[in-house]
Amino acid sequence: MALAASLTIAAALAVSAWHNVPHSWRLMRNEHRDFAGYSSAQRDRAFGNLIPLRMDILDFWRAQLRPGDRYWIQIPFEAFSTAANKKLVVRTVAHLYLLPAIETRRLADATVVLSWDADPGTLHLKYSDQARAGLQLIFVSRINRGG
Amino acid sequence: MAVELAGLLVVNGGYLVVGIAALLALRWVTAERRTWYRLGVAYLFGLVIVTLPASYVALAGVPVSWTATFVGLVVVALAVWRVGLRWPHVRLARPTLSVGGLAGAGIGAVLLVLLLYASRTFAIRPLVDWDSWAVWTVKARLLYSDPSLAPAALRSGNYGQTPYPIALPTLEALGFGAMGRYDGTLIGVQFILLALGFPLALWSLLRSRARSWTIALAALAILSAPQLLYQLLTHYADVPLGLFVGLGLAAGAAWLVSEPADGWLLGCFAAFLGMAGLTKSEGFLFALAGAVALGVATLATRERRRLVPAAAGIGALLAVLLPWRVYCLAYGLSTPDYDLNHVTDVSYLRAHADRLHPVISELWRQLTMTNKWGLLVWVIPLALLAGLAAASWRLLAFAVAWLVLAAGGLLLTYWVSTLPLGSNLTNTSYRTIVSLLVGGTALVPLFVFPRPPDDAEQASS
Repeated sequence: MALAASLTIAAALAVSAWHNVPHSWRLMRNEHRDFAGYSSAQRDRAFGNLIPLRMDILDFWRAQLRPGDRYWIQIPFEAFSTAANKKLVVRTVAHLYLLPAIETRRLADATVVLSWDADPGTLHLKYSDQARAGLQLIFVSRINRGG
Repeated sequence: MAVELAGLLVVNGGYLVVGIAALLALRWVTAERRTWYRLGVAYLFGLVIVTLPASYVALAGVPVSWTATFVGLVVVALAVWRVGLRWPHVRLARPTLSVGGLAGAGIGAVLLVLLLYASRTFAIRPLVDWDSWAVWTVKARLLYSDPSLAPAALRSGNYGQTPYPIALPTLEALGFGAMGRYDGTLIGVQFILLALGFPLALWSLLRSRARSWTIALAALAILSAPQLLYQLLTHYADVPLGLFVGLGLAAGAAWLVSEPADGWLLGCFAAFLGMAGLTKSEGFLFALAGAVALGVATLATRERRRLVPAAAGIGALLAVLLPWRVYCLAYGLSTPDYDLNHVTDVSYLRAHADRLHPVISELWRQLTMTNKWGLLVWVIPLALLAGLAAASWRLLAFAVAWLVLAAGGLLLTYWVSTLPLGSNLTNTSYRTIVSLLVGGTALVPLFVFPRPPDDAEQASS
């Protein structure tokens, strides 16, 4: 009985490997083919681009941020997918993309406001510095809390 | 990219050195006892003993690279102190050619070629999967880029679920440190290195009681499973978790059929299951199930001389796991996905009993997908049958206890979950079963044509 079971197990493992190795080989080859041509910047943005999300806005934000900044994202509520609203998706992509700048939960803790289709003027804060992406409602506003 | 890759390989070489040093310092590898084959676990053992303290100390805002360097240097210094600067003269037995040994080497070569071929994909595939971006890598980059702010940010809930343990992000952060910069793509190499370390460690752990060719065959069937390599490619934590669960279980099971006073298998049991418990939340469940299974198997055999070592092994494992639970309790870190109090709430369970059938169906469907996992799910019960026929009671008690507890615990987490079944099941079932399959299959070589003790003594000499 033990011998029969052992032989069957060995055969099952061998059959698994026989089928798996070529399958996994093809899988790895296909994944390599899909991404081998990407530049470093394309790899950085691949997650957002595949969602798809406008990564040029996150690039604009990223260019204005400094290490140690604590940002708060201002974005109107908008439906995005069956699983998430747009704010959640933007915040999720930003978390990794904008590090080492860190998101704060409360506007009161932030040093920078990042606006996406929103006017930072409506927050009634004083800003020491502000950058705008052309005429779009895309801003990076550095908060002046000095009084 | 070459410089960054070289840095990553150097730090992984460091894990190997630390692992060897630890085995020497603990006298688990000595010239006299001809225990050279134990060096097979050195890479992953070193990685674990560096990563675990680094992940804990990171919670106090200390850079992971500082802790890892400190721990590594201490371990190497201890090894030098114990054995001196002279490498112990290891007398290797002249290898005897056997059909089984040649078959094992051949199967191992196939596995090596597959993993090396896969490594080029791991080096260039970007982060394109949700959890790797939103949970694991973001935590890792946080630990790397701003260690002082990381603890508060990790507790804020902005950077992935707060009760998720951080061993995997710590390992990735150590990789970023070695590369000199954050690179969410190239860190994939760290994941394929985990896979490369697995068969060698499994062989090392099981060699004294299992045949090389069955170990190699089991490792090949596990690592060549398309779903395993694909999930590893996504940088999710589930496959690393499965690999550590498999090694921890293999170590525990091998100890049950080995000399009880020999601590190296129990040390590996605690280290690898400890790493599993700090890799994912369900890893805690699988590790705890491993501890209970070891206790059950030890008590069931009524072998008195195993009681104290088993208690020590379980104690060491709990000593690794519990601080994280204490940390979560101290800061009130909990998940909105489920309330563990419901586990003992019979009225709640009864009210949600309608979740059971779809959960069981979906988990079983995933387990039995042969295009993803081959025949692994059928191999495990067959191995138990072989154990039953051969009256391998200790192994059988351990394997059955772990499988029942782990599968039952997994089922229970879906049962008490507050998430709607549809999306929750679809998004997770294909991943949560990984540890069941890898853990179960890692035990299989002990049941298949097991190496008799006399034979094993010769093998280790």
